[in-house]
Order: sequence, then structure tokens, then C-alpha cells
Amino acid sequence: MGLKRLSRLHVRSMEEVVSLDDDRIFDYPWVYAVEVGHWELDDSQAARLREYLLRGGFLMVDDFHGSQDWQIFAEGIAKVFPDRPIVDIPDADAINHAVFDIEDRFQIPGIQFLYTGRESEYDGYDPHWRGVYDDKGRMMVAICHNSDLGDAWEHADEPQYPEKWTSRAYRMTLNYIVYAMTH
Amino acid sequence: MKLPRRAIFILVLFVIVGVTAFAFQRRFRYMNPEEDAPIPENPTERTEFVFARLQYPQINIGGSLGAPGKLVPPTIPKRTASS
Repeated sequence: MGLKRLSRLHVRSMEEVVSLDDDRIFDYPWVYAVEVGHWELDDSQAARLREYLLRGGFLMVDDFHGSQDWQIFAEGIAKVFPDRPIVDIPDADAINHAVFDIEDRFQIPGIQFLYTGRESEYDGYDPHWRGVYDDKGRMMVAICHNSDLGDAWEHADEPQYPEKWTSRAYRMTLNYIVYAMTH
Repeated sequence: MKLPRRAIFILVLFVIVGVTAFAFQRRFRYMNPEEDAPIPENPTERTEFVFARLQYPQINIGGSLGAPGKLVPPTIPKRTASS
């Protein structure tokens, strides 16, 4: 709904929920997964996600924090791509310039900030913007570790939630979407 | 055994304070407004793009009675792909 309101993308106001067990995932070029520090993919789901991504799909993962969440996520992605590394996205990467030029990337805390006063969760003190690329250098998985862009989208109208995090989250996401649609 | 008057007074006072405190407790409210987020109007309108949210099995850390994790991520709206 935020994308529809705040951008000129002609996008449906509500996302579809799709499962890796469902072939309909191939109908959606851009998929978002939240809290992937808790996911557990079996072999068939990992194979399905690998096929989806290699056929041109794009996955953005978000809202997982600290070393334990990272370990669980990394184990899952290693099932999907045992032979592909997770790398830090360079500032100069096209995904950081698809619409907005974004190089000063900073942590985007979730709504928990309002009642804990902490910008980080668990031991996730430093934001990491990482990706997994295919053989042609196209990013297939955009990884937002130690940040919560989803909360920043969702609480755009919450007066106490800082605008700088919401506006940055939307700008980054628009970059991710336009990149995915053009690469 | 006969309780001293002072002990009875403290006991009664304790009960009154306890009952009063419990009587005015408000229900614990976790700040999770997305749970009550309304579904937007016309959520299935035809548009150029439709994006998706991935549903996946969750790992069972610590275990809840040994049951395997199979949960929708908690911030998913209350609507399924088929609806």
C-alpha cells in the first residue's frame, strides 16, 4: 500500500502470500521474506527457490538480527546455493543507483526502537547490505541484515517513528524493485 | 492462636492493596499494530505489478512441545493467497 501511495509504480495495494511449495511463486517477479533468521527450508523448497531465482526471480530478505539469525539464514541460503557466496553489496553496485543514489547506508531499526530506545536487536549492531549474484552478475537475493525496512514502510505514518528511516527504506526498496525489473 | 491486632491490620491492608492493584490492571497490550491492520480497498485490483511475500516453514528453536515449526511469519496480513 505504501508503494502505491508513495511511488508511481502501478502496483497492487496488497501483496500475495506465496509458498515455496506452490508453483504460483513463478508468477511473481519480486518476493519479500521477513524474519528469515527463523526459516527452515527443506531440500525441495531450497531447490524450488533456486529455480525461481535462476529463472529471473528476485528475493529481498529483511528483519533478522544478530549472529544467531544470520547463522540460520545462511544455512538456508547455503541449501539454495551451496556454490554461491554471500557478498557485501559494493556502493557502486547498480542496485544502489537504480532510481536513487544511495551510498551512505545506515541501519534502519524496526518499531521496537520506540519502546526500547535501541537501534539494534540482539548483537546486530552493524547493518549489513549483502547479496547473492548469478553468473551474469545479476543480484538474485538482496539481504538486509540487522535492519527492518518492513517496519519502516509499515510505520510511515507513525509520528514517533523517525522519517529518515522510513524515507530511506522506501528509497532503497524502490531501488531494489526497479533493479529487479530491469536486470 | 490469637493474632495480634497489628498483624491483622497489616494482613487486611495487604489484601486491600492487592485486590485494588489487581482490579485496576489493564490488559497487557503488545505494540503490534499490524495485527489489526485493515485490508486495503480492492486488494485484488488488476495492476501492472503484484509483489509477493514468501511463506516458509519456521525453525523450531527451543521447541514448543517438540512440534515442528510451520508458521507463517508473524507480520503477514490476515489473508491467504487463495482469498
